[in-house]
Amino acid sequence: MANELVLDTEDLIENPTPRVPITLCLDTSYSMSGEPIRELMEGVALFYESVFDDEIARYSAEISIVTFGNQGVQRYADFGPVERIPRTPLVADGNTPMGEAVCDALAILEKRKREYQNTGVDYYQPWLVLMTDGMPTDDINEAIKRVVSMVNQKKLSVFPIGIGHDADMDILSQFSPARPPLRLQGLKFREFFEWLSASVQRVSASTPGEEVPLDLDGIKGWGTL
Amino acid sequence: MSLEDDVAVIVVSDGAGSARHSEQGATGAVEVVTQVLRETAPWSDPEDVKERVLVACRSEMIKRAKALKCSVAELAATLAFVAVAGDIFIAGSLGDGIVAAFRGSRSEVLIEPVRGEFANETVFLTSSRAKEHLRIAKKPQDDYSGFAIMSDGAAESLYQRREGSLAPALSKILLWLDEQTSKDVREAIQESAMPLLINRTLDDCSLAVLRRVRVDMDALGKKSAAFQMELLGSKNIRGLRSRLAILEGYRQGLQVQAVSEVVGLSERTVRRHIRAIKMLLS
Repeated sequence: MANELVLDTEDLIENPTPRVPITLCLDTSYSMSGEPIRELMEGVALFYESVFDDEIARYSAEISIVTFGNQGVQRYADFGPVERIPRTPLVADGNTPMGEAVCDALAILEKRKREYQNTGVDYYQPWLVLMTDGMPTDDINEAIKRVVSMVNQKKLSVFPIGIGHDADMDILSQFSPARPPLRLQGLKFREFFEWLSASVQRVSASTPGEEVPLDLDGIKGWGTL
Repeated sequence: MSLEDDVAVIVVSDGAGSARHSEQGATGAVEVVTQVLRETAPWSDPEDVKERVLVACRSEMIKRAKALKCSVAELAATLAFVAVAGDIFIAGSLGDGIVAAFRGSRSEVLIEPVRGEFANETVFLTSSRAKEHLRIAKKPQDDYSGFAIMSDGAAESLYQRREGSLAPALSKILLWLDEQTSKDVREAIQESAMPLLINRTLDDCSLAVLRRVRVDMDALGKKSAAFQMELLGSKNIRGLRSRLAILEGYRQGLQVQAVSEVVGLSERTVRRHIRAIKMLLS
């Protein structure tokens, strides 16, 4: 090879890493008081850490959090780099305005997609993770209609997760036309978020045409159908 | 790449990550598309070329799927090509590959990638929408001096998605071909360029370039013997010397008999050389 036939990195182009926008829609109603809210908080922090530890997912995954319960619907964490772990303690109180929270989560995801489009950043199908230990106290019809429509058009991946035995799995199933909701075994938030992080890592590393199936065996460690 | 019967063809086909036998689909597509482009040159009806490309790919994939006992979808692959014959070129792309062209120091994207809303979505030869999405461009070659086609993995480092612009690396590689043999450039791409590209993506990387090399006689004398042999189509040094001598006589307007006497070769051999030179200079 002739010596002068060499390329340098400055001869190349940097494109932004395609993003995976994820919104966690978390129940912080009164019934989550005590150990459940503490375990949830720890699980969320673990999720951020675990995604950060993967060198591909670290630059792909963007996480935002909407809570419903204490002080109604709250935007607890906006999209941002995963090294910024939200540290404000979650407080469990109030009702369960799930319908409003899900609509807000969809609005956040749509806004983020527009930002990607405006700045020329590629992105994967957004994820919505809905976690609750009870049943909604507001109207959820609009939220269900919008989520189902997006899932059917392959515009959204939804993960409805019931916490404990009081979670209304029938309601959760209405949000998920493609697969049944999952019930968390006990308070295995850590196991769930580890599994979620591994799933994000697989999507971040996928290439065009590649459909990434869920790790169904991995679910057995923390959830039941 | 193939250079036969005055037709130069480059084809890139990138197998889908999820399709089990996509490398078979991609290999088959490259083979049959090269053949179709050679057979249909100079491509008087681009729509007919499009149809024949798709039919040939489909038939090949069905054949291979039968042999592999799998569905055709398991052979999913994208397609990008450029072919040049005389002063006409035809380019096509289906999927997320890029077709680029070069005029002097300027580069342009001839065919943009087709992608879905999401990063892991595109269209493949096995898609029911293949005909709708296969884009073809046929143009006079004019002052186009080179072409490049690449898979989306290579495009990660060679194509700026936001601006739709191309990396300086492509022009640099094309300029290499003005000075070095295609073998040296191929080795340089493999040893220098590809490791850089592969390090910056999780996807496979494919890149093919096609360059019209123009060298005046004075400059030709300063090039390496290997470069001169490739440019003039000589098989060995002896053949190169004969061809250079005949080329010089031809340029001076000497008759075949006179050239024959000067170089010490039969008139028949001189005529054969002149035919080859004319073809190269056309």
